Amino acid sequence: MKRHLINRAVALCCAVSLAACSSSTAEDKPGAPEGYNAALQGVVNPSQQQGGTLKVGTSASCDNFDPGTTYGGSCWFLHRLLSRNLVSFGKTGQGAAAGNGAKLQADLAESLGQANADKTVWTYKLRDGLKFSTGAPITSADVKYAFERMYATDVITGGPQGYYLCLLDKCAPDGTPTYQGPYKDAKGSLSSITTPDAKTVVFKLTKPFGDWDYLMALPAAAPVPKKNDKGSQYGAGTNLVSSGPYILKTVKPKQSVLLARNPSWDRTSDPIRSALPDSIDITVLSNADDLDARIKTGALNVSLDGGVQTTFQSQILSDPKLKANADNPVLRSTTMLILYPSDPTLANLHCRRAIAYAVDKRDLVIQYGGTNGADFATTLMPRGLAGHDDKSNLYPSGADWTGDLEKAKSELAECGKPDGFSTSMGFSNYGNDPQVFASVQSALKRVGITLTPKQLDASTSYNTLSTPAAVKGQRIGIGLMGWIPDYPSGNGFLTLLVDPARYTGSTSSTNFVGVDEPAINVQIEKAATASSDELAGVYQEMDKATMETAYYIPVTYAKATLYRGAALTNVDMTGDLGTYDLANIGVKAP
Amino acid sequence: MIRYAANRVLGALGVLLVASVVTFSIFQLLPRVTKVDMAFYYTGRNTSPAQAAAVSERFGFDKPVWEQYWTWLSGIVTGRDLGDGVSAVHCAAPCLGYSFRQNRSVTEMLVQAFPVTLSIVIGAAVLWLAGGVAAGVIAAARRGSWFDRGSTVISLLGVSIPEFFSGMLLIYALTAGPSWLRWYSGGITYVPFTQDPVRWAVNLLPVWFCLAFLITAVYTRWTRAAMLETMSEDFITTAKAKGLRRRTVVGKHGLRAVIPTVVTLAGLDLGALLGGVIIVEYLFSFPGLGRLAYDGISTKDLPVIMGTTLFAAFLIVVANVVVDACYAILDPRVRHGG
Repeated sequence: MKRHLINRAVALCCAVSLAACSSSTAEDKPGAPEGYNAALQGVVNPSQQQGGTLKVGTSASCDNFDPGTTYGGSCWFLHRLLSRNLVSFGKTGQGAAAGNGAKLQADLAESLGQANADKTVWTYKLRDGLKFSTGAPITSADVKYAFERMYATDVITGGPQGYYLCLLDKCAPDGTPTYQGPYKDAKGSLSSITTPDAKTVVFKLTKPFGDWDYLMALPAAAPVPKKNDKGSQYGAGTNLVSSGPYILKTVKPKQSVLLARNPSWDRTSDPIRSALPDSIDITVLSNADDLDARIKTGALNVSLDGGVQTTFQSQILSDPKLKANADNPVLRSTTMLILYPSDPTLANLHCRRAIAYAVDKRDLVIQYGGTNGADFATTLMPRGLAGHDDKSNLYPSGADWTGDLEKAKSELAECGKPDGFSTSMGFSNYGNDPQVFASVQSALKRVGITLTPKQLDASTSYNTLSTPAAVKGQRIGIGLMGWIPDYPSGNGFLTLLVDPARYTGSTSSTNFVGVDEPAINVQIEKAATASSDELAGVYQEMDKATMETAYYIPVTYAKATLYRGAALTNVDMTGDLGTYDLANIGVKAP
Repeated sequence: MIRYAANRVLGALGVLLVASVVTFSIFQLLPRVTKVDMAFYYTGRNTSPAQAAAVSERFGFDKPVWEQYWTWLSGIVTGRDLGDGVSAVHCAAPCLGYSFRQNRSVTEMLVQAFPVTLSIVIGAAVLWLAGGVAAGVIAAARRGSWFDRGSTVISLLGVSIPEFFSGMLLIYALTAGPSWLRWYSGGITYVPFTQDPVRWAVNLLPVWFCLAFLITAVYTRWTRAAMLETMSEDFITTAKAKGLRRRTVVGKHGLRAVIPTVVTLAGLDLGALLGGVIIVEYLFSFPGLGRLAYDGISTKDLPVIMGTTLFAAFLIVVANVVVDACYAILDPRVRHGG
């Protein structure tokens, strides 16, 4: 599946203190964490020294910088430098490992969204003195326009519009909104968003939605000035009006991107981004091992890809000097088996549960590179998200995590297949997936379940496994997927997997199996209006209810080995712990 | 002569047409095999049927297959206008397609990528032709010598070690290896010839060696075998009997007989490699035609795949024509229709 955004966390740092420290120099701060996993404990090499060029490497080229159309993880990380939203994911700061990443912070807005009691009306007030890179003021109309252009679904394609369209407009059963967007309907406008004045924007939703702030933090919600909009050409080349600390200076597709300072960005208005380097030079390298080699030698400072490749990981783990600059976080993502009821055998709950018990998680962790590559998963919700319950484990895999074969056989007997059954498993031909298939195949064979492979091209595997017609057409019974939330909340992670409203039956859907269970639907309704204090409990219940159905079997929580270049200062994590936060990293003077 | 040229051009156009039809058909078959609508490759998560339909309409996936193909084909001659209103773009002739994913014309991408691939292939060709032919000739002339045995071993190594392995070794050794070998500590990066000819050559050297190592081995083995066969011909025995110097016999008579076939092989290899050296470009992250094709395939960017395939086919066709012309120059029997 596509790599998507993830979450970020909050550290309190007011604008005044940022301004005050901006002129300070780099120095060793007593008590600052250092060594292996230091960035999970706090900011490494804390410093507010400005200047220099941060050299970043990535193997995933961001060819389109239109915030409305981009949906790639590395593109979203870069948008944090180019665009500001009403609210954004803050600094992770102290305690990244403890789950700070799920918190949001006011960005362009003065505060987080002010919602009414049933969470259908959300109001934001913009800060003073905000400007685009053109020098024009950022107004509520620009925020509204970013949403209006999403409704041109033939022009603004590929982004996360699916989250917004029917929350902000009445939709036909096939998902067609009433409003057609500003290109086809130049005189109309999206009536659900009102702008009483240049600083106030009010969203009136079609139904209660408690996680609206999270949707406001996605790049697609960044303001777009109407007069600079070029439709599908907005974001092509350097054609992007920036509201963040940097602008696109040069873009060489598949080669490099150079970011320079946005002269109109006001440091005092931005509590989230330190924006220390004067420029950021991003090199696109198709060979990820070459990228690792350049980070090791210092030719590049940091990777936008996150985890290093196996070769460099081995070097890091065996060399204390390298290891001192590395981190090994558990990411906010869960690798799971999807059990499709379109396979008649797997329509039976007990047959699904037999698989849940029979899986050998110990071997799966080994296939992902051992304990540095993955951790045992017992719930769908990964660690660090409100709603994760470390004690929950509905289908124990035995003391050694190799599976509970007795219980698996007992479930098989209950489903009327005491000798097992046959089905097929769809998986990508990328990375460890083929080995994972082999592991699942041999684990299930122990109880008589025979798996045949359906290897899918990496570029089509997500679309295949998320499209019911494709799953049925290719007779796939089990799908292997790494599930990463677009936004770090129970809604962004779990509700998407189980919400019947997401399932169309024909098109690509995140409710992969068409879950429609009353016990889960009740929790979905509760979550829409629950207070932040209640949410963790609601999602724990939802996770438990979903696990009961055994449509999704979590097998591992993903881990990655990250490497901090020696020249980096002020190293903070992104909220998903998948990489380091470019918006706050600095570089030592050469 | 005119008739011959016309036949060649028509034949070439036929090949290009077939290549484009086959590539296009593969992509039309893809949704039928995977049961995933093409539109979904251009949309995000949670796409409604309406969103998918809107994308299909704009990109033309909802049109009959023949109409989609004709639109693409005619665009090569006349150019195309895509989209309307604020999103309107003109793709000038020869419009080999327009990538909606990257918002760029495919022709523009090919124009940018071709010099990279050309730089790689031409430099490597000089190395493998000079090295391979010379080594093959010397090995044949000194059959059984240490040079012959040594070149055989090195050739076997070259043939046995795939590019992705030798390329990775080179990258590691030169960028992250021991300090005395770390000549490219800043990484090996493509620099356009027009920007800095020296850095262009310096950065291309490892790439040339990587590509040439494998092919040189093939040419060495082949040239040696061909030379040995030629050297056992009657006309060589006659030349020797006439008292000609060994160098003259080998260089003027033996090598001359082998050269036309070497040119044929080299022409075809060049044509094929110019279409994209995917593994080498991917390893060294050089933005040439091979990487363009690879990225197009991995993102299901049909216009890019169509464009790169057709351009690669075009290069092979051109290489064939050039080889024929060279053959006529090098071999008088061809020139005189013998």
